[in-house]
Amino acid sequence: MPFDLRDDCLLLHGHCPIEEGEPLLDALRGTACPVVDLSGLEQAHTAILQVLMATAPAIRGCPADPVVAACLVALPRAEAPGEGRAG
Amino acid sequence: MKNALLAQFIPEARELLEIAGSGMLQLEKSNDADALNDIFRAVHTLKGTSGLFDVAPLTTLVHAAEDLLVEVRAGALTLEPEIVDGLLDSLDLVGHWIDALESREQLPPDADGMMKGRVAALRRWLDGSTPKGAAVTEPQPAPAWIAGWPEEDLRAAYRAAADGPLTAWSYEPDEACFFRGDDPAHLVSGAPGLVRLRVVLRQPFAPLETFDPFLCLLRFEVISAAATEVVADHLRYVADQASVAAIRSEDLIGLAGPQDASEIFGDFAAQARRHLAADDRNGLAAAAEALLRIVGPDSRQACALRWIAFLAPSAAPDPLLRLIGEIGGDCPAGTAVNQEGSEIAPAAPLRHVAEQILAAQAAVLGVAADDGVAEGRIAAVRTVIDRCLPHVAPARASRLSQTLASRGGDDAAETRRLREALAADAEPVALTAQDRAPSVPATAPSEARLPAGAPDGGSVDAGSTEIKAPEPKPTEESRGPVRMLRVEQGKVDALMNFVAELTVAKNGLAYLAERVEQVSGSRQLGREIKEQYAVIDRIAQGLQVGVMAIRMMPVSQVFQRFPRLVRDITRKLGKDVTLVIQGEDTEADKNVLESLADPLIHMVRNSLDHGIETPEARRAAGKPAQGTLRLSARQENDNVIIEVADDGGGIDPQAVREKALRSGLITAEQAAQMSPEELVNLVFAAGFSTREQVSDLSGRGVGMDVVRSAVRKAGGDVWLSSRVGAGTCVTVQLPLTMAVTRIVTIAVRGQQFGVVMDSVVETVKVRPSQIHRIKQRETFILRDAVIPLVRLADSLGLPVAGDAVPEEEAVMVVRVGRERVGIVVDGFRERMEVIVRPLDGLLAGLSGFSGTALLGDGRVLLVLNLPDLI
Repeated sequence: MPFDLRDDCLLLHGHCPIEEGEPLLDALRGTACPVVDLSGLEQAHTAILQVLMATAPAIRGCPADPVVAACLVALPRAEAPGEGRAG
Repeated sequence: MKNALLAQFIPEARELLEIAGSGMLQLEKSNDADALNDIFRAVHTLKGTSGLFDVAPLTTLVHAAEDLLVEVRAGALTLEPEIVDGLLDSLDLVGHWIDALESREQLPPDADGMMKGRVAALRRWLDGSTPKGAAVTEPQPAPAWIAGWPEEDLRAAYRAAADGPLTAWSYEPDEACFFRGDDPAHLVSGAPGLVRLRVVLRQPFAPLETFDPFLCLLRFEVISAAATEVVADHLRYVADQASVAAIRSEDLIGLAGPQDASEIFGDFAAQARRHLAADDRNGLAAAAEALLRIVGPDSRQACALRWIAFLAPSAAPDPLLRLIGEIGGDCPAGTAVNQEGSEIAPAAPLRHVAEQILAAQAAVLGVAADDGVAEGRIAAVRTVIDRCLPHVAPARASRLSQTLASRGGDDAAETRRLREALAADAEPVALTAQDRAPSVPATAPSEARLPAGAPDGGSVDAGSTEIKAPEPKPTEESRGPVRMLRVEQGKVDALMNFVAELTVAKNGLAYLAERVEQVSGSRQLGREIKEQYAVIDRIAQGLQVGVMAIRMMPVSQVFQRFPRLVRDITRKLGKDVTLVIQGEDTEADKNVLESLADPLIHMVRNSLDHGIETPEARRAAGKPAQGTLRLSARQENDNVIIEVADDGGGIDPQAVREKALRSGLITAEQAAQMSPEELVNLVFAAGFSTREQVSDLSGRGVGMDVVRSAVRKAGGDVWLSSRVGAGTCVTVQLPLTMAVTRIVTIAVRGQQFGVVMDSVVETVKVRPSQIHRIKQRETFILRDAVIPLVRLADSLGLPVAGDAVPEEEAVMVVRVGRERVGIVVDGFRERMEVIVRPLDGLLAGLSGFSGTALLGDGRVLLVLNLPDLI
């Protein structure tokens, strides 16, 4: 499963195919202040990126793919997970 | 061959090599973009397909050639004859490897070493061209969206580009692309040479409740350090949604922000020029940075300063000077540096767009605005007008720049002035712009640098159309490919044989009808069989025409190797020759053409070597230095006529005569009777050409007897006409097809023989009194022409007939070469179509006969070879 719901964030990792678009959108819609962790994301379908751009969650971690990074450059950054837990 | 894929690859590769080779020659002759594209496509396809097989040296070599062609196509490399030589040699080598692949399914063991040498040679030109290439790259207007990028990104791109190629491309996947399985982000991510990219929204996302995740609204803007071709190749499947343009690194230097007319900039400009003159780059950068600390960061000048500070250590003086001019304000009004390129390029295509943008500005100014907004809006509009100036008509540009220059008055007055200036002479285009506005797709608001102060992005959007590369021409795509079938020749030949058998079998019906009448005496049955015969005959003929058409090839298949041959030989001989090819569409049977290929090469080589003189000799003779070799083909009745004509020195009949006399080919008596034309045709005689000094003297004749025997074997003939000093023309006549031959049967002393119909001119009855004896030969007069007579029975050595001389002799007038000869026979029988099978085995050496044919009643007919008998 390329996306997991963790207690404090949504975790995207590996290859995220277009099929995840709708579940991801639902998950993000249902969260008040969503945080998405992309540190393990290798590749995401354009639709996934669009969902992220439209829902504008806070982003944690640096996506490796330059296109992913370019898509999400305008989204707010979440503090690192360690700090989040400490606070 | 076991590997079916490889079996398919080999003919395809040969075809591609052929295309590339002939394209190369055409390209050398005239710088033809189509030819270049053809070559490129061929080489590219070859590279791609060869990747399927274990032929790494081949792929590498083709790849190197492709790289060289990329440079040529980009205009960075001129196609020198040496480079063409190099490329052609490489293609030849690939051709040899293909041959090896066909026979052994693997490359020769030395392929790797040979490849390395060739690749090194090709790369040498490539390396030599690179510095030149950077300077020569043709100026191309940079896409407009570059101006929308943040300065830092542009600077980063500038830095990354170094001196390599730079390509700006944008990709706007259509909304439904996900449903076709496209993943635009993945495509972009895998694009070659990514330097910087930006993802923009074509339109704002719908509210989350109605947001459709499967509607693609993104647009990708990318600056890449790969060559345009490479990028375009990567985007080939979405070419209609992407636009790719080569840009120069200077195109990245874009200036934005309002003009700031402070005097301090003038001072800086003067100082900066001094720094630059002294090549004090650090000083220049320091001065720019110092000034940046004291001026506001938003003005156009500040932007230019940041670029200067960035560029000072490394860049060439030119862009720096332009930037300094921009700051000092003594550039032509409002010419932004990144628009220099578009100024050089023809501005016409952009003019329309510029006018549209200006019309949109007028519309923006027409909307009432609050005081606070109005000021920013005016500034924004001024910037836009400023940037449009280089693209509008010169008169309009100068009026607009005057309006821009005269500042003052309150905002309302300035708004009015700008609106009037915009409206002044823009009516027609503005109207079209309005008309077009609804159909223009809305583009990302951030693209045009408008929104700084515009009241709402929406009203601006309508006009700020993006300048897109022209759509691919529809005509190129609507031209559907001709559907082709690649069939092994053996299969067609087998079919042809069956058609021929059918033709012969069909002849049997005619005999059958006769026998029915004779044996059973039933005329009715005989007539019915004859009717049936007519039907089958018609179908068989249709079938034969159809199968023959499959075997027909345009002569160009043979001719196409000549441009290369002529080029190579003339370069070797130091002669200057243009090759003119005419009638290459003429079609002939494949076998006939193949039999012609070698003789033609002989003749062309002769013409170049001995016929056409060196440029000096030609000038001395009062002829143009460049010789002409004309290869032409045409169809005459059932023959293909091919001529090889040069405008060289011609053949001296007297020299030929002396040589022929000395070598004992003709006697002095014969020589005295021969016309100059007959004399020059002696070069075809066997034994004439084999002697070296003869060929040196006559200037021709190497292997001409070989030519004649090859052509005769294919059932044709060859002759030559020449004028001293004016040139030589060799004419080859070949039958259109060799498969089914129409013959007429003749009877001599009770035996039947076949004579090929094509050579028969007419048949006449001649009374013995009309036959005259001139010296040793019998002749008769046919319509005022003296025609020599030959008695076939004598020629064939048949026993003398005992009975008396008939009242009338049956004479068949035939054409042998270009002479007419009368042949005395006992009588004519029927005409028929047969397959003439060559004599083989024990009969192979038999002269006088060209082959045998099977008759409908099972008899074997000998077909005469008339030239042997006369």
